[in-house]
Amino acid sequence: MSDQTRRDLLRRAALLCGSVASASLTTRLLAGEDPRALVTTATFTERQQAAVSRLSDMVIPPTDTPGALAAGVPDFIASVVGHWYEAAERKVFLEGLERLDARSRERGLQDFAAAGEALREELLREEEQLAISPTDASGVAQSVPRFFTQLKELVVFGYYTSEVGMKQELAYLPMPGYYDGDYDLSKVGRQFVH
Amino acid sequence: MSDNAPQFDAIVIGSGITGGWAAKELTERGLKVLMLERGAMVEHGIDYKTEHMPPWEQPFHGKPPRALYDEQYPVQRRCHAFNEGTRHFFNNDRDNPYASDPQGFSWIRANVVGGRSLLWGRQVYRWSDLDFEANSRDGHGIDWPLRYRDLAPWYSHVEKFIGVSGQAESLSHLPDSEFLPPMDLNVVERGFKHRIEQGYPDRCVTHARVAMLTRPHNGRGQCHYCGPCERGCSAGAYFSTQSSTLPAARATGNLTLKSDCVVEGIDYDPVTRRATGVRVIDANNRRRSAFTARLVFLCASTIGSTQILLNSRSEQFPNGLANNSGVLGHHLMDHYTGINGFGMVPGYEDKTIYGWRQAGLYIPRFRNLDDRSQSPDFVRGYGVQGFAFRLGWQSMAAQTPGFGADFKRALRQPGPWGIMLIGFGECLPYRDNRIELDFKRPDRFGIPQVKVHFAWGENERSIGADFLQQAGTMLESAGVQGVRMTPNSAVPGMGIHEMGTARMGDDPTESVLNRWNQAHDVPNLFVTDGACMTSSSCVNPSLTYMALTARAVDYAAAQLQTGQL
Ligand SMILES: Cc1cc2nc3c(=O)[nH]c(=O)nc-3n(C[C@H](O)[C@H](O)[C@H](O)COP(=O)(O)OP(=O)(O)OC[C@H]3O[C@@H](n4cnc5c(N)ncnc54)[C@H](O)[C@@H]3O)c2cc1C
Repeated sequence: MSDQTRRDLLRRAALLCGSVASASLTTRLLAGEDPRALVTTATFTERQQAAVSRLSDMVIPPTDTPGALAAGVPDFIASVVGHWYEAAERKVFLEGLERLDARSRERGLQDFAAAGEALREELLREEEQLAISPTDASGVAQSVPRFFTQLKELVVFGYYTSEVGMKQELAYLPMPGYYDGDYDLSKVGRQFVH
Repeated sequence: MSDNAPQFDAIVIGSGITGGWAAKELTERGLKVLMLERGAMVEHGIDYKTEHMPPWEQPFHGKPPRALYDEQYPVQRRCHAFNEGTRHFFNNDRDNPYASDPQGFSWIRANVVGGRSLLWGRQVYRWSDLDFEANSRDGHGIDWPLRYRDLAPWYSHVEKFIGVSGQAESLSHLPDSEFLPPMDLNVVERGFKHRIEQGYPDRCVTHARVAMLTRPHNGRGQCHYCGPCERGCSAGAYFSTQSSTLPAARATGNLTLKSDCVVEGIDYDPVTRRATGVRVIDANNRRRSAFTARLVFLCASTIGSTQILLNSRSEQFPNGLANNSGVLGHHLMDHYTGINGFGMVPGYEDKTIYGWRQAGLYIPRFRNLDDRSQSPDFVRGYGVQGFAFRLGWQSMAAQTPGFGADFKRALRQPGPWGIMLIGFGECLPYRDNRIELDFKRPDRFGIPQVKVHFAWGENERSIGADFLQQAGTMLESAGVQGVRMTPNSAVPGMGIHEMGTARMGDDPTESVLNRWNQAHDVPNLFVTDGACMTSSSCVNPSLTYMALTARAVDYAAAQLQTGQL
């Protein structure tokens, strides 16, 4: 398999969301394993997938440039939660999604993804408040970041390292050619990334 | 050719910065050379698999697989250059283990052709007699068997070939190199330079001196400022074995390079009192074989070379080859670093940086140069590397609460300017800082593992304390806000400037190598990597290793020609 095909397959495997149990996808890929063999069950149920899509665009919405959903961030989140996270982290994340759905049903009778914008905002703000406190309800310090912290990190990292985020929202500069450490910001109006 | 004739004129062990130089210089003098490297082949350009690869094409956009790092790279992961774009060049710690004292010594190493020349930071500074006379002046360690004037022509020779960009400053304690134009300072660094030089007339803030090309040089292309140099540069804009010395050596037609070839030991003939060749193990199938040569150049890096010598035991040398003095393995040094100062620079909001320059500013040593700069607390000194930059989305996201359109807008612009200063302190040569072999613990090739004993002394800690105090004051006096200094603690090995353990000296009873990097006890054996160092200076050492290598080859080849060897 050429490296290019391998990379493509890997991306597709990530898009299809492979097995949750896989301890170290990268190791297996580097050992030459066919990424297609790693694809078994999906990371998220349809309901969870819908919530993640909503949440992605709530953190980074479309403005004059595309938002996180259009940048493919939900797929990135599925691959990280499914294959990169450790079990304890995955648990916190999936519980967070469950909590959002449960609270949404309590107050609006619908799943989070189907709830109105105002309610979704309110629920996510509550999650943000929860994440500010370093201890849980019983006063125990948390070793794994809270759901909101996880979500925000995933969306931010996924978006600003995506092709859309780097090329459209920020100024992608893979091959500068020269160095100018006294460059007028107004000429580009955003941060350069590589 | 008789059956006894050696197979090669010279064997070079290691293909990193010094091995590449030895091979180039030897082959260019018409000698047939075998270069042996334990790691896998990396061809220039072709094997830079991650070069220019955008994050979205990498698994998990380049997020580090933590379980894999824990299990297989617990040491290498501490290196700033270690990531998913470079991991394939680094040593696998699980497969190639070593031991160290509880306080730990991080042995950061590559395991490929090119060695750490692919990964290094490329900062290059000449030593001066402030360094070469240091031991004799303050009595720590033994005197160097050479002085700056002996090495100066070889510095020039090396610099003209590798290409060094930098700014001439005419400082006697940090001699100028043969310079290409410097890599620019950015607007904030320029402002910092101005304020420091005004406030401290005895201090100089100059451009980092780097083995990176600011114009085409010897057939190599100039830097295009794409950023992650450590992934390899197919333009050849930075000095590496692959970009520079290997093509030169190959062009002579005199080089044989064998990768995946682990040198186990050097053979010694007690009758002729010469090294006769080396014993090797094939890294893939573990088969043992041997090669013979008239000369052996040991360039397997400081610890790697001394490991080979310690493992080359015979009746004549029960404690390791060329170890009649008993100092082999001792006086290991590194630079005291990991001590930093950081703060925010107000203003300059309308300016940003175009291009990803892997260089910055350098503040040459300003302590213990004369009576006025004398410190009562420590001998020797430290240099400071630094750079200014605008914070990126990673830092801004961590500081910006909330989510949504406002959050997104806040991350679009670059963040405020920050400036970072990093100290590099000289380390004294202590006998107790040493490596030995654990003969009860062989590695997967049956080679005894290295065991490192290392602790900083009072002098290094005092240097660290002075850096933290001085750098903090300099930052504040330059108008930097919210200055934060790290604690005064450096992790041994993390300077990645490990040196010593087979030091040079005039007296064979207290040194392993003479003034030509030639083993006192074995005249056709030369050690020219960091193992040879008698003291550590505070500047990055690799340029000096290169100059010493080229000088040693010149001497050895002449000796061979005149029949002395
Ligand atoms: C991230 C990083 C940044 C750095 N920045 C700088 C800098 O800015 N300036 C500076 O001066 N220095 C810097 N250094 C240090 C610099 O890389 C080393 O000083 C330099 O590479 C040493 O050259 P060497 O030839 O002795 O060893 P290496 O370049 O390490 O090469 C040794 C080679 O020998 C091989 N080898 C080892 N044992 C055996 C064996 N038994 N058999 C066969 N082959 C063997 C190794 O695999 C390796 O390829 C940096 C290092 C790192 C990792």
